[in-house]
Order: sequence, then C-alpha cells, then structure tokens
Amino acid sequence: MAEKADIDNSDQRASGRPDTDRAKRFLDLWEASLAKVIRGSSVPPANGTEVK
Amino acid sequence: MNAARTGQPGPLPFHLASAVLCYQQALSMAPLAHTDQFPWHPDITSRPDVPPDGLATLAEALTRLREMTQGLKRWQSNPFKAPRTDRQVLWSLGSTRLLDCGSHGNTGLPVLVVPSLINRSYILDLMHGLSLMDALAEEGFRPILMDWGDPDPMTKSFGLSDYCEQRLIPALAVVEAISGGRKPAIFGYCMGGTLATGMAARLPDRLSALVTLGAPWDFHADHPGLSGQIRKAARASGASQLSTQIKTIEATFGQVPAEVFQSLFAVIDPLQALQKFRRFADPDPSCDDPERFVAIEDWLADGVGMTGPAALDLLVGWHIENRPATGRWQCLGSAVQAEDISTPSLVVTCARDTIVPPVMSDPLAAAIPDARHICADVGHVGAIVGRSAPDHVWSPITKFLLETAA
Repeated sequence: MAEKADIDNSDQRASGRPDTDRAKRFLDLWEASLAKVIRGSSVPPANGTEVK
Repeated sequence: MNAARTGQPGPLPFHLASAVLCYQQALSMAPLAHTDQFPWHPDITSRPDVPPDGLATLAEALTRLREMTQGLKRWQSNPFKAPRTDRQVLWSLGSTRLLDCGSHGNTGLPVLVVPSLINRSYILDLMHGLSLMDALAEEGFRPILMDWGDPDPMTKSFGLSDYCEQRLIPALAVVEAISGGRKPAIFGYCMGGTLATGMAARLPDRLSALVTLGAPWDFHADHPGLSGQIRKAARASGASQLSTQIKTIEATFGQVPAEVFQSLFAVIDPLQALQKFRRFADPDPSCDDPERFVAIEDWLADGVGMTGPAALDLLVGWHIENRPATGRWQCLGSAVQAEDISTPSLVVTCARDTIVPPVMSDPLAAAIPDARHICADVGHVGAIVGRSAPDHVWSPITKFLLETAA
C-alpha cells in the first residue's frame, strides 16, 4: 500500500507542473533576494579596467 | 559514503542549518509572496503574481537541500588530488618557509609574495596548471612565496608587527641576496597585502614595486551587506569585549583556531555553501570544472590558526579600531602612513569580494600617492584561482611588474 501511495503521489506531483514551476521560480527569487541582502546590492564598478 | 577526504565546509552544522533556515523562512512567508508585505529586496522587481503552492514549494526546497548534500558527497568522494608543485625551500625559521617558485635557473627579478596569515599560502600556488606563482615565473619573474606555516612555539607571542620584523624582514634579506643587486618587488594578497603595504611604507629604499590584491585598508567603510552589519555590531560592542573573547580562546586552545575564522567567513555569507554545493551536485562536466572545485574546497577545509596577539591586532586593532586607515597601525617601529609610500604601487580590488569588499580595499589606492588601481570583476578567492583570474588579475599584475622592472 505504501508503494502504491508513493506512486500515486508521484503522479499527482507530475500532473501539477505549473505549481512546481511556480515554486522553483519563487525559491530562485527568494535566494536572489537573500543574496542581495547578505552581500549588498552593489554593482561591480569596473570589469578589469583601470580606475585610477 | 565512500569518502576520499574527510574535510568539511566549516563549520558544517552552520552551513546545513543556514540552508534549512533559508527555505523554512521562504515556506512560512510564501502565502505573502505576491503582496507588498513580503520582504523582497528592492532590486527584485520581477515578483510573483500569485503565491506558490505550499506543497510544491516544500518539495522543491527538499530537492534543493538534497542537491546540496549530494554536492557535498560528490566533493568528499572525489578521488582527485591536486597535483601540488614541488618548490625549493630557500630559507626557513620555525614553521615559516620561503619557497622559490621560479623555474630552474630563473634569474628574473624576485617578487616576494606575502599571503594572508589566516589561510594557507598554497592558494597562490594551488596546483600545476592553476598557479599565480607559475604565471609570474612564465613572465620572467622569480616569485618567492612566504609560507607562514602554523603558529609554533617561536611565534606564539607574535603580533602582526612581529611577523613583519622577525619573518618578513629576514625573508626580504634572503630575497635581496639572490636579486643580483636589484630591488625586489613585493606582492601581498588579502591581509598579506596590508602587511606588504606596511613593508613598503617602512622600507622605501629596498623595494622596486608594491602590488596588493584584495587587501583590506579602511575597516570602517560603510558596506550595505551582512559583513558591514556584523562589523558595525562588533564596533558597537567595543574592543574590550572582543579582546577578552580572543584572550579566552587563546588561553583555551593555545592559539585562535582555524575554526574561529571559518565561522566568521561562514557568518558573513551564510548561503555560500548551499549555492556552491548545489551547483557542484550537477554531474555534467561541461557546466563545471570539478577538479578546480575540489582543489579549492580542499584548500578551504585546510584551515590554519593564528596566534592570539596577531588575532588581537587583526580583529581589534584593524577591524574595530581601524588602525591602518587612520595612520595608527604600528609596523616596524612606527606608524604606517600610506601617504608616505613612494614605491610604484598597484592596488587590485575585487568587485565581487564579500570578505574584503571594494569599500574596504579601494581606500588604499586613494591613500598611496600615484598608485594605480584596478577593480577586477572577481571575488576574493576567485581573484587567485577563478576562471577569469588569468585575464582580470594575473595579467594586469604581471604587466605592471614588467613596466616597473623595465
């Protein structure tokens, strides 16, 4: 029965792709948001260029 | 687990707990994701229109946590051992060694390379095919790498100035003896760059060039990230409290153990382990460089402790009291004034550095008269061993040294 339940749950998850995609996008945004808080939102001022 | 190594991203419990907490917070606030009540960072403008499904979010969070531990397992079970370079020891004293990284018969201008005291020096000479020392040697220089080693009975009471006086000064004399009458250059990485700056300020006639990379200078510079907030909190709690803590740690362990510094690095970027080990979980070699990753993680896990007095100088004298930028850092008998440095200087700062953000390192370029300043699009460790390091960091440094040596 447990195995059957697992299979059923898998099927339900597979049929809910929009939910999964929304969850992935939400967590991607959440991690990006946290990273900006942690590291500061400064944009690199230069890319290997001499600034002085 | 078939572990090829036992190292951990230290402290592992903190990294695992941070990852769990990250997703736990996301799950608890997910119903508000589409509202103004959700604490999105202002830079995140593309926000969800509807809240994510709770169960799907939980499943995805669990998948990501599993990927993190899979990445960790992939590192620990990886059989790769970095092919370390074999260098001649030019001089040693206690656990300190001076390593000749020039090719055999190299008579190029010696460059004394000064690493940080809180990490192993071999990041600068990580392995065959990934070595800043080899890059310097290929341009005709003779890089001489200072390997501080572990605190030992001779260095137990050393503060930072003692390391300059009793290790860097004798090392410089050894380097001068092989320089054929030319003045050697000095190149310092991380806090080694700050020490090299002290050497250049105090010994204006003995060095031909100064290069610093990711070297902290202004410790009170305002940084909006977590590291800036932690520095502010440390300053608010005062020097005496931190001094007492450091002295207690030293009394307990005989030194300030590597784990203390690994914990500090972890606290200022608590998501780093989650993100990098998730990326490393992907077994597709085309989107990764597993050997580079393994070599760097092995180095990160191979921490080194610091003497109590040196830790006091670093964490209290530099971080709390900001002695370098305020002209109050005593080195080789008097206060270091960067404004007095007349040696041709290059200051390389790292735009993506969370350990020494540009706000801390840029002021050194402003303080040294006529210093050249390059801000590279790299992180603190990536500046040495990242994919873009050869173009963005190694090449400008060798170019500057070639110009000053001409």
